Parts: sequence; C-alpha cells; structure tokens
Amino acid sequence: MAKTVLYAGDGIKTFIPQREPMLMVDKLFSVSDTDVETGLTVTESNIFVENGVFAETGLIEHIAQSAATFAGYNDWINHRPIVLGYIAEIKKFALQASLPKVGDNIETAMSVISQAMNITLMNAESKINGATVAVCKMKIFMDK
Amino acid sequence: MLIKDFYYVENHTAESDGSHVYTVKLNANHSVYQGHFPERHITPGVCNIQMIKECIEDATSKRLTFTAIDRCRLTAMVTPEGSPILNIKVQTDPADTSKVSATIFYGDTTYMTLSGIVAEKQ
Repeated sequence: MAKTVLYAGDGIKTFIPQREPMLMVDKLFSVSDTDVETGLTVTESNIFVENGVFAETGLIEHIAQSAATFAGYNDWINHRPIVLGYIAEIKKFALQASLPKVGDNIETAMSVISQAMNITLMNAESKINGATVAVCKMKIFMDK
Repeated sequence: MLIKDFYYVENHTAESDGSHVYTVKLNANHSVYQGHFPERHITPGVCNIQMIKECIEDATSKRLTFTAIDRCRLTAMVTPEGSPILNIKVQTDPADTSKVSATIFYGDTTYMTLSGIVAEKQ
C-alpha cells in the first residue's frame, strides 16, 4: 500500500532552504516533534547520479535534508522563521545494501535522540521497498 | 569527478608517511551554489566528503564507495568565497587498505575530519 504523502515536490520548499540542483527530499510522509519520514525518488538528472547509480554522498545529503525538513516543519508550524541547518557530525554511517539506482524510491525515517541549544542529534534509517539501505546518526547545527 | 567542475586539483604530494595531500580550488560559479543556498553560498558537507573520496580514488587508482563512515566532523564552514583553496590529506591504513582517514584544512583551520571504510565499486 502506498504511503500517504503530506507534501511533495515544491511543497517541501516551505520547510527547507535548499533548492535545485541540491534539493534531495521530494516527499514528506509524516512528521511530529520527535520524528520524521521523508522520501526521494532518484532521477537521472540528480546531481549525485553517475551511470544510473545514486552516490552514497547523495544519500547522506538526503538524510541531512530529512533532518532539515523535520526542523523546518516544526519551525513553520510554530510560526518561527525557517533557518539554515548544517551537518555538524555524521556517526556510524553504514551502507547495508547496494547503492540506490535511478527510479528507486528512498524512504527515510529519523527520530530525535537528543536536543540541546542549536544542536539536534538524530537517528536515521533509509529504506528502498522495505529493505534497509543505510543507517547513521547525524548531528545538525541550526544557525539561529 | 561525480559533480563536474566542482573543484580543480592544483597540486598533489605523496608524503613520506604514506599519506597524500591534494590542494584543490573550489569553483565558486558552480550551479550547486544556486541551491545551497540561493542567498548564501556554502559548500555542502557532503561535497567535502565527495572530494575526500575522489582524492582517495586518485591516490589508490581505484573507484570507491564509502560503505561506512565511523565519524565525520565538520569543524568549520567551507565557502567558495571564504575558503577557495583547501588542502585534503588522505591516508589508508597500511594494515587494512579499506580503512581510510582524511582531513580538510588550510592554514590553521581544520574544516573536516573523517574516518571510514571504502570498498571498490562493482
């Protein structure tokens, strides 16, 4: 069964400041004050695609922007301005399957581990067709 | 190079300890900066990781994928206008060449440190 999509395509731009060709989230499935589920369909024109394969650096950027979508949505819903967020640290990134290919639908679930000042530490798991592709922990710095 | 013309290698030295140091110049006119971000050009952290990987590929003459990144810290912001020249030092563990470490620095500033595992592309 297909997941319900809350926001897709340009709708994501409400929540994150990244724009083409660096936009690496194209769907928001669910979001709360602790969790987020996002998606990205890998297209041939994606800047991280080479020979039909999506590079692991693109996947990491997709995870970072999933965290940014989480933060941006929570700012938006609470009537706060959307701020720039940066990766501060990546920990325990592990690729657990072949890299995504053009046409694959990546779905990423993230949850907050801890939050202090402008730093949020989140856990991430990306899947394709229900199979885990990569996991990591990511620390995001919000430039408030 | 995955993202064409993102940077140019200006110099490459193989050090006596087995490490390699690449000096690169960022291309401030690259289209990446139209999207990251429209009002403030900041080099994406993952593009730093990509440059590290491509330097390791050059040093080892292999096409590689990061299968694990134990830890990657971004300790200073890279911008194509503020830090156009970067040194990228890469090293593989002589006992296990899949283990790599890297540092991006210039002058007294360290921009990124990374330790991870690479595998040859299928």
